[in-house]
Amino acid sequence: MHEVALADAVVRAAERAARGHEARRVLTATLELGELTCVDFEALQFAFELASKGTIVEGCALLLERRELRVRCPTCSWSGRLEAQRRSCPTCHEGSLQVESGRQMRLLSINVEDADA
Amino acid sequence: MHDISVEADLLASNQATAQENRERFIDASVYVVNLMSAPGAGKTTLLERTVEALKDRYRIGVIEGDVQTQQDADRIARHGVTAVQINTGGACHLDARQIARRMSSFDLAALDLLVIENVGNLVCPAEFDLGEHDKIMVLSVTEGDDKPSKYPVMFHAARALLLNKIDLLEHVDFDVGRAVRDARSLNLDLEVFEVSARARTGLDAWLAWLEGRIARVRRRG
Repeated sequence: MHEVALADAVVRAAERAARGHEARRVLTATLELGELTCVDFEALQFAFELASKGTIVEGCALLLERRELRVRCPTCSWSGRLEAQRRSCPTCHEGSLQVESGRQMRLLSINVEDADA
Repeated sequence: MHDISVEADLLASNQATAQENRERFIDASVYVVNLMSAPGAGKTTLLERTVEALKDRYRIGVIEGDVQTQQDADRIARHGVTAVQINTGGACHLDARQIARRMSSFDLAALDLLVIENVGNLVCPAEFDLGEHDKIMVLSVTEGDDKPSKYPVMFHAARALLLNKIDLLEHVDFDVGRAVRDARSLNLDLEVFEVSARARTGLDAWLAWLEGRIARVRRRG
């Protein structure tokens, strides 16, 4: 259910960016979501439709760029993508790994219709 | 038509308020924990035991987060500490703004420990920083040892894990080794305590650790 709060954040960030460029309407918004986040994209899309009603973001398509979980092993310094369900280092089997990437939750960019179009 | 680069963190607004909360907590030298678990893991009972054990030596405040009802705050207030309730009215987590609004209920500088009991949920609360010093997870053995691997975000964010209802271990298929291994797999420094809040076992190690954390914040203040 925190998708509602996130959808609201997407609408506000997209509106602000579009206004700054004097755009008439936002056509697409590209999100970056890491694997180590708990966001249901379908729930987010649904919440986004409601949150964007009556704004210049209404009707905008949400695009998704997923970011995989990447870790670093403190013992042997291996780093790379950690496959789902694997919970130890693939080379030395160390059980505790440092997360390097995978927590992203960002609005990367928007595509807009210009005011003079 | 043209593309505009935005690069905005979706949690930035919550993060900014959490940072303001954090600065107020640090100014007041009060140690703040965000207590999280699934519904029914025993957070409130554990909190009652903790308050009972520490209230004569520390000044404690509690913020109770729940979807509805005042019941949990009443349970805590019976132990003679200030407890305020936040009803999220359906939302599955507390956010930093709700905490900021409730701070005026406390004289923060007159507190040593502020416990924020989050809404029972294994998914959302981990994403919302409240400004706390530490996130503390409670996992009861009746929930199953697969929870750390299924809900890695919550366990990744925690400073300590309390394995509660440990007195029921013989009645359930719960592999402590597996749960702890999975919980630590993305969290090197996770402290683990095996406790039973109801049977009052294993609490000494948890309380000693908590007192150490309180002392650390006080020294810095």
